[in-house]
Amino acid sequence: MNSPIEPPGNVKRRILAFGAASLALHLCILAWPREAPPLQATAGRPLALTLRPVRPAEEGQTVERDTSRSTLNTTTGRATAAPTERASAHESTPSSFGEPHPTSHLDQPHSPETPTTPAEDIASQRATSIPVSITPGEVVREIQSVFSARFTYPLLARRRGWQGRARFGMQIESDGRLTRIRLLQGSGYGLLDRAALDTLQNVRLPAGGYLPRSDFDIDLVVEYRLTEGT
Amino acid sequence: MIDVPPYSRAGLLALVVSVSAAAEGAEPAEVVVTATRTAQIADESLASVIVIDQDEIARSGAQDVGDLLRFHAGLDIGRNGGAGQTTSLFMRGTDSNHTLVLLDGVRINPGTLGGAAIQNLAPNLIERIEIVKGPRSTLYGSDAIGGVINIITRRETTGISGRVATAAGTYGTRKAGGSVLFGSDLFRADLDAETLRTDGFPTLAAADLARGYDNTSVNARLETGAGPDRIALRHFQASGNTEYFDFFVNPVDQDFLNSVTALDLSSSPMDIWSTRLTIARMRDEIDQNQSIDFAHTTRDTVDWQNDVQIDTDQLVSAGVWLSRGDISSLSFGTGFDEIVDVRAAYLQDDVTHGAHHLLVAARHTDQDSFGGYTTWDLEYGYHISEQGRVTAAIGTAFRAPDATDLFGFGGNPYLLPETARNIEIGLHYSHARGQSFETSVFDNHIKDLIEYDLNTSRVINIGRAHIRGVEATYSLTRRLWYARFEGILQRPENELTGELLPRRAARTLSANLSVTPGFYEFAADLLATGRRRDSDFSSTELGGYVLLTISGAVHWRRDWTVNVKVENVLDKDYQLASGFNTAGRSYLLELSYRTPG
Repeated sequence: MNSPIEPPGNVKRRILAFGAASLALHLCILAWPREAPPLQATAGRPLALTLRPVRPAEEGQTVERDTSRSTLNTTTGRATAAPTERASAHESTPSSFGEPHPTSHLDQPHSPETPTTPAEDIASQRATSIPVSITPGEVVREIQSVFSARFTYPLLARRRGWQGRARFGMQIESDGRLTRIRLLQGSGYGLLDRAALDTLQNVRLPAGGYLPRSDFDIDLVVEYRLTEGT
Repeated sequence: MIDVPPYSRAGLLALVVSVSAAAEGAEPAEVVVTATRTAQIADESLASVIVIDQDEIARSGAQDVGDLLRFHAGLDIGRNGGAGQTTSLFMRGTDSNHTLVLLDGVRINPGTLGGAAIQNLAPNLIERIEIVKGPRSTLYGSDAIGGVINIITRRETTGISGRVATAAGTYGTRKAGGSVLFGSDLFRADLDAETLRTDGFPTLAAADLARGYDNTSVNARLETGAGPDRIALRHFQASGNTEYFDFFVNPVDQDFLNSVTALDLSSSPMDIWSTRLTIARMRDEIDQNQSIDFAHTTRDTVDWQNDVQIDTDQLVSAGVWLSRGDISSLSFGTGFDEIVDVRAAYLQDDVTHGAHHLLVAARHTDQDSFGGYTTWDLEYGYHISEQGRVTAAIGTAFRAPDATDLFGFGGNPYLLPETARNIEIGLHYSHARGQSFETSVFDNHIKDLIEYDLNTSRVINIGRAHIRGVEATYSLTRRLWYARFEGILQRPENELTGELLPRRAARTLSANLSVTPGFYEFAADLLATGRRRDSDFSSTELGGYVLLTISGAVHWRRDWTVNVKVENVLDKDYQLASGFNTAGRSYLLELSYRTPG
């Protein structure tokens, strides 16, 4: 069955060949260069961590902005950052964690072992709870590393297509436990809220001095989102 | 330091958790837990599932659902001409009435002869199509021997969007449609409509009069409620006229109507328990205009589904399905008007334990004409690694005799259901960098097939079929393009005669390349399919063919889109049913405007 209007075969074939070649070329040009930079693995919405002391700065301390390095660009990251990085911590001052922090959080270790030996094995620092140069960014990284393996999408919610955002408030104890977890705003689905809550209750950040002497309060939004499969 | 919980690996694999940090001051920390949307009708981790999403539908420029399905391996299409003409779907080598088609979860297979009228379903009203291959009777009842297709219509979840589109193309095809979709926290309203008219081409090779088709489709939906507690009222309707040639090559035409009206009530009485009640009426009507022949099905159904999540690793589903079909037909002087009642109950347990995933299900169906029949399903999956899993499944399925079998020409009220037992083994591998591969081997024994017996001049449960096959899919997803290759090798055999079953190719390959750089899109679909027999009653063979369809879209100012589709680019002369024409190289140009945002 042929289409009613039909140009002579040869011309048609040539036009087609030319069109196809042109199209292929355009596609190559369009597709090629932009393919190079891979997408950021963290496709989620940008996040910032709200850190604030559980007790407002005592003794009327002056609060200063967190001068930690950006955690976005460091690949070494985590609390195992090399001492040299610490030394240059003041160079880059992102406003990402612009919440006020008592200086004591950053500067005053509460362990007898002090960070005066930067070359010391990081593992031993962890083990001995030295809050050396802990930064909110590092806390985020810890949360990232810990949480990324812990949340699951409830089966029923996947089956029924349930999605939503739940907001929690919680406190990070200096030993890494999350306490006083409370649901601030539900997702509309009890199952999702409960799954997130259960996960948070069982999550524990690695203990050992990641956090400054005092405890952190954080607000955490857990968003359950379904994506189209391929 | 971090003790890994005994969470299911299946669960872990399915989700991606991302936490990111950025310079946004007081914004709270955010964890985004994502998982792939599961098909509504099956769990991809155990079954062979194909999802045709909105992008693919929009790019394809397909005129009906048959056009969308044909480029996937294992979905053979038989068609008596062009747009609107009777279209048969043979899934994985099974018969054309062995695929259950659901429209938003409501069965639309007619109670009379043949399969669902997929030729009348307009792609522009469809959000996505889920195709599950393999027996699904345990959850969905009769007809799901080859598989199930769930067609999900378009709807909005948040905000408001509008769209108007018009199209014109070869064979005097013109189309116009529009939609207004609205969604807010508590209320959603969607209205989608399209009208299509085509002058067509001669459906028969032996004739030279074009046979046209027109179809006006409307989908409307109102929903209120939030979270899991919702009430929705919806109506889908496709109606129009199909011109064709009768057996004696006289030009004739018929009016058709396909509709689904449903009330959905869903709720979550407890966090872990979700319940949904759907009360629906489906109509499938054909009225011949040159005679008094007709075929009407009106089916009322009550479908009550319950899902309970027990612990994190177990999902139990239970449900009851009741239906009453009022089926009447008059064909070549044989007529009937009957009521067919069906009652069914099912129970399914889906358990994940570490790397193991097990699904057990059973259903009992009771129909007056043949009594009770029980189907069951056992599926198992094992994660061999983060990326790979193997699956094995054994399941049964059935097709209840339709009213034409029971009461039509040569009808036999004592028919039993056609029954099938399918065994399947699959391997699925998905690489983090957008590559995925899956293959499955299946072996499907179907017995008690209802066939016309010349000796007794009536239909009896005489046929047997044995279908073996292997299919494979490889896909590669990149940021700007996507490629997919599918292939099937199958042997759909009539066990009594040893011959191959008609209109099902033993070999089919398909490929899709989609490029989406942004301001324009391009897609090419290639289908290469082998030769097939035309019917059980003749030795006529339909030749193999290669079909190439390309389509492209250019977006202008983000709200205008120009879409061009060239079907059968190579202008192949092929047949999907002996003596019936198919479209030659044809073009369709569509202009659409979508409200920004």
